[in-house]
Amino acid sequence: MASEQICYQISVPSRLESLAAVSEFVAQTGQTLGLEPEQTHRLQLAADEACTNLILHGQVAESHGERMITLDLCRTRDRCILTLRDHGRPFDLTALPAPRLKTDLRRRRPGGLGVYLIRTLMDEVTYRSEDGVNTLTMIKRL
Amino acid sequence: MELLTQRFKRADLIRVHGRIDASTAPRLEAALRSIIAEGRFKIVLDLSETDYISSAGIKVLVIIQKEVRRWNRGELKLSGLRDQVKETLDMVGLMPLFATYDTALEAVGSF
Repeated sequence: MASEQICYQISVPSRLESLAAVSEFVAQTGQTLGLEPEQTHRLQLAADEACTNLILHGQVAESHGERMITLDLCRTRDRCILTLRDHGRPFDLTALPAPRLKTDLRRRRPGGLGVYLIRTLMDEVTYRSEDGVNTLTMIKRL
Repeated sequence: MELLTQRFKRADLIRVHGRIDASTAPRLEAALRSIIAEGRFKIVLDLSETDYISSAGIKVLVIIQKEVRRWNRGELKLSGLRDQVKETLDMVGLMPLFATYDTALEAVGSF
């Protein structure tokens, strides 16, 4: 039997002020989809970190109107799928090197933690840039 | 996010209400820096009213900890960590970098 998929979607302007709305959407949707609060919190964090990266690194020089980010949160029987789409400059966060977490505080360079969190929180992360649309798909097995 | 700053003899306390993400973290950093700018390096950050911190907030904690610990002049301590915040700090391996306390007053008293 093909696994049934239930999806919810939100579109927000590509600015940092939208992060609270993204988080609220994931919290409410997580509850609607019957996820455990801990699972929902992890999805919130992954969505937040991914949006932050798109907003900060996907800026386009010449802006024609406001750029938007579309987020889909879907659930099948055994997995949750977060999909982010935008039309910004392609930014493949899956290609970034992992931060060196063991480094002593005095030598630790800030940053890189967001991508590390996404990789830790999610089971599969894939990125595709095609016809001006960037798609980041993050899967969490339940 | 709202910030409430209190000055004690031993340390300065900032109570955070609300989420710390990339849009609010710069305000938290500014508040912490304004304490440092006054030559005060013993700081408690109370997170009992915060159920969410992203890497942007964690980055601020690391930067400030580096700054206040320089020449052993002080420390940034955390209090009232909720499970979600603790889990996030744990995931990036940063819990050992911070002394944590159940309440803000315990943390202030520890200086």
